[in-house]
Amino acid sequence: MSYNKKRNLMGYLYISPWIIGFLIFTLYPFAMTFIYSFCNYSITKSPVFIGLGNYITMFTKDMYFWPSLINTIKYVLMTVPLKLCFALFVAMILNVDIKGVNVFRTTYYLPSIFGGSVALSVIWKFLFMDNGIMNKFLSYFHIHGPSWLGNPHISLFTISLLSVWEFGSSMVIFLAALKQVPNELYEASMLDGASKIRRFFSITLPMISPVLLFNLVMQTINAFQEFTGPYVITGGGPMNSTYVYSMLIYDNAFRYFRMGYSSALSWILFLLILIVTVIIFKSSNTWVYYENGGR
Amino acid sequence: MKAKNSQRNDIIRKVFIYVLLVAFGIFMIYPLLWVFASSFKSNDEIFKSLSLIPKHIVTNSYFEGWKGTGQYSFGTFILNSITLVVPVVVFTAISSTIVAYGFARFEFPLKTILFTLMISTMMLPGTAVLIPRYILFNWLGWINTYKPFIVPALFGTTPFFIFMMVQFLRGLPKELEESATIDGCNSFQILMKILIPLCKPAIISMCIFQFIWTWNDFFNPLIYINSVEKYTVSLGLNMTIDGTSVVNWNQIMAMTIISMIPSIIIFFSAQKYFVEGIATTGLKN
Amino acid sequence: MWWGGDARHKATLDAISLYEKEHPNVKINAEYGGVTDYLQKLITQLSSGTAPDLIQIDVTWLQQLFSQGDFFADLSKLKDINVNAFDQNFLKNYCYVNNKLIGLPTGINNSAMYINKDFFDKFGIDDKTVWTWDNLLQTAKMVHEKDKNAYLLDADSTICDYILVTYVGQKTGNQWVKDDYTLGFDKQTLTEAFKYLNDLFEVGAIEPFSQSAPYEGKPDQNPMWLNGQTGMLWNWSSIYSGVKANIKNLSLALPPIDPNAKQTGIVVRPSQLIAINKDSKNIDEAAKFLNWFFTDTDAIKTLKDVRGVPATADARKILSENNLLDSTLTDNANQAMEKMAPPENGISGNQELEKINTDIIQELAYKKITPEQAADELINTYKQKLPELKSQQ
Repeated sequence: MSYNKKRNLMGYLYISPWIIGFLIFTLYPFAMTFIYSFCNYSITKSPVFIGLGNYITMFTKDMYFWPSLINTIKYVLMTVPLKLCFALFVAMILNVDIKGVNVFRTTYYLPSIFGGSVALSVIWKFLFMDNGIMNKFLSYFHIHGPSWLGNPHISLFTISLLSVWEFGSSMVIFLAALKQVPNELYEASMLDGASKIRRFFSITLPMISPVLLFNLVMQTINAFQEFTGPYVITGGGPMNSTYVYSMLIYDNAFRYFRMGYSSALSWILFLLILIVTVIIFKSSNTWVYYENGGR
Repeated sequence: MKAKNSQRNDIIRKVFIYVLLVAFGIFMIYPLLWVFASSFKSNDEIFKSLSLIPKHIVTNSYFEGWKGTGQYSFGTFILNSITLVVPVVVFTAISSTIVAYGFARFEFPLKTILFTLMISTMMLPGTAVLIPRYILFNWLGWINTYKPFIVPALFGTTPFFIFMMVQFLRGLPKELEESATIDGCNSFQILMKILIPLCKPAIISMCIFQFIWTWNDFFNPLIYINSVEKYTVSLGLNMTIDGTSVVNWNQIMAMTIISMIPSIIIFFSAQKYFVEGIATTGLKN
Repeated sequence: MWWGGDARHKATLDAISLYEKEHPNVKINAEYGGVTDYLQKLITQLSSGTAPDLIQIDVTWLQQLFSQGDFFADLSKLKDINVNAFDQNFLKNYCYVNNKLIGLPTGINNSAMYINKDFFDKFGIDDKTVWTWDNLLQTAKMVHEKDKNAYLLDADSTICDYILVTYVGQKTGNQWVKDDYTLGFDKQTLTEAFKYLNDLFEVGAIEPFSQSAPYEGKPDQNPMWLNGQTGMLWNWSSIYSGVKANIKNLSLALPPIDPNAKQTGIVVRPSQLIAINKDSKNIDEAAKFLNWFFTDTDAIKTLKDVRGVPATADARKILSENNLLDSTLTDNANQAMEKMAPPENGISGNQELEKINTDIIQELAYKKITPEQAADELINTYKQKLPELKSQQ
């Protein structure tokens, strides 16, 4: 066996756990959902094939389809950049070697440990109600705070803040990546007299770009599927301004018991995320730097 | 003179950073403080005031909350969670690292397609696959056991971690491996001896994430676990929430705090490995 | 399998162990938890045939879900269950689906007005007032004029939907949507109802939605209500214990009724049902237990009112003799039963239609549309949606 063929085989061997896992645990549920999406399936009765019916309804009759899709896209555009910038910024600060940095890291990660606990929905309302903590804080600076959750133009942004606030996991991943940037590179550029900002763009950013790509892709996928925030805090209101696509999927499945239609909605979301992700990956060829020359 | 100046600048910079960190930190931690404070408030006070200081201090919320409904105490749920979470974390770390190594360092036909396929399994909302997946696990006879969590972890079914490890591995230089190959190491030895030590920060963060996420996961345990004796912490927390008539909020707050402690300890103690990451980069020379 | 809070868990567990002691050959595995995602779990189990023997379900799920599927045993056919202990009309209205007795009611749940007595005293309102639409509006106006930060009603869009539907129902005497999927009202009546709702907003009877938005869907957690700045909450009597925990000085009244009402619109329904899984291997044992659960004196004393005021007259008698019932709650339940409206049909309670209503109510509250436009929009949307829903039956 030639060396190359052997290496090929080794590659398959290493990824074989995933392949087996995929065939056993993922393929069947995915295939079934795909079939359901062409059926009228109300859970209680067995599925009846209706061809493209669900997909046609979605685009022609469902009055919530487009608004919720637009809400979701807005949400993604707001949340992802904000969260990534914030996470990277904090990670850079916490990468400094100062006393007590451990405590700060833990503190900043705490919101993410909260997860979606019930206590969270309670406190978030307190923070953002009209005479809540946020507006009290702003009033110290003589700013009259808005209705964070009551104003349909702002509510989606407030929900997005919740997600930004839980930036911990992106931050940790950035931190781990920053730790892998060799100090020698910085030292060399310091000798060259490069400014801080220059160093950030010419060394830090390229060196952590693989991880930036990872965070970008993951956060995008997550943001498209965002459900907990709006579901727990606003229930989609006011005036459906936070009624995101996942809520539409959920409502159809578990409030109106239309599993087939809900599956069809899910597959449309799948396609949309896939397209966006592929675009990100394609573009990454121009901005992601791999130590070993890519591939 | 110049040296003195820069020293002063350094101090100013540090003070600035501290002030910034503390200010932000308060904002980040405020909700937690509030939950903590609320666990000592009486139930009717929790929703009425924003204040952090309870008017009447209630101390039995921890005790009462721990007792739960009497049949099983919160301690049982914590033990259950540990039995569930530990294998999941260990298996995920092992399987994800191995699979990621395959994707990051080997060329083989269909690699791009398989990789895309793997990433794309994250793109279908969980709502859609819920019922078929349940039917599958039921068919395997795994309902009311922890197998629906543990066995898939063995097979690297969390693409998030595989992708993350792939990105970290690809960020590492190849020279070390090449010289090791010349020294006669096979690919597995390279993974064990060279790459894993280099990726320690990433592996540690993977373990932390998986720990916290599995620990907090509510929906999957709810669906797959039936017996109360097997309930995990998150199920225990939600156990008394009746939607309309919750009365024991301070107990819920108290148990929220208790349930977060393991995650906080894990995160805090894993810190030193991040710091260690600096040292390992020295290997690159 | 059931959901509930601490008190319910404890009482039910006690009852189960009592039963096990009396019947040493029976072993009951209790599965219980919070209400969060209970329905999702149940659906998943039902669709794969792994549901437990005895299942607590909510009446509101019946029409949309369980009327189609054949999941539950017909309890009227099981000889171990004494169906006569229950009010037959009540069973007929709510527990029979396609002539099969799907479940037995755990308790009575009725629409009620929760009243914060302290608030009422402050504004000199009598908490024994019999409410009509007119005096409600007048009182609300008076309250808001006296204190700009006080509102008589604590209401979100769902509660406004109760107001809308009840108002229309009292005028027409019809179902909201008739059994043949046509509208139970005309445009004029609906416009009138929307105008009334609009008046409530205008006079400051209801806290502006932009302010109460964080508590949409959870009006009983709104700090305005908890701090006594709103005085009345229209809701189900089933949340009584939760409300009582926060508002110490609480009293109950019936929702407003028009003096010329063709029907009162007051809903009395089971708080939950307990059903037996049709595929259960232990149907007979489950039936015996269920019968004991509802009729045995000791069981009744153990369970008290953790699932609402019991639905059997015997149980109510036993509990009140032993002083185990809250008299405010029982009195209100008795009043509601007297004035009870005919039961709502399935389509009127449809969740999709409810969402359309609350959407339009929000637009009205945010002053995006006038009451006339609201009525138009609602009728037009229904005209599209109803045939769709009908075809899915």
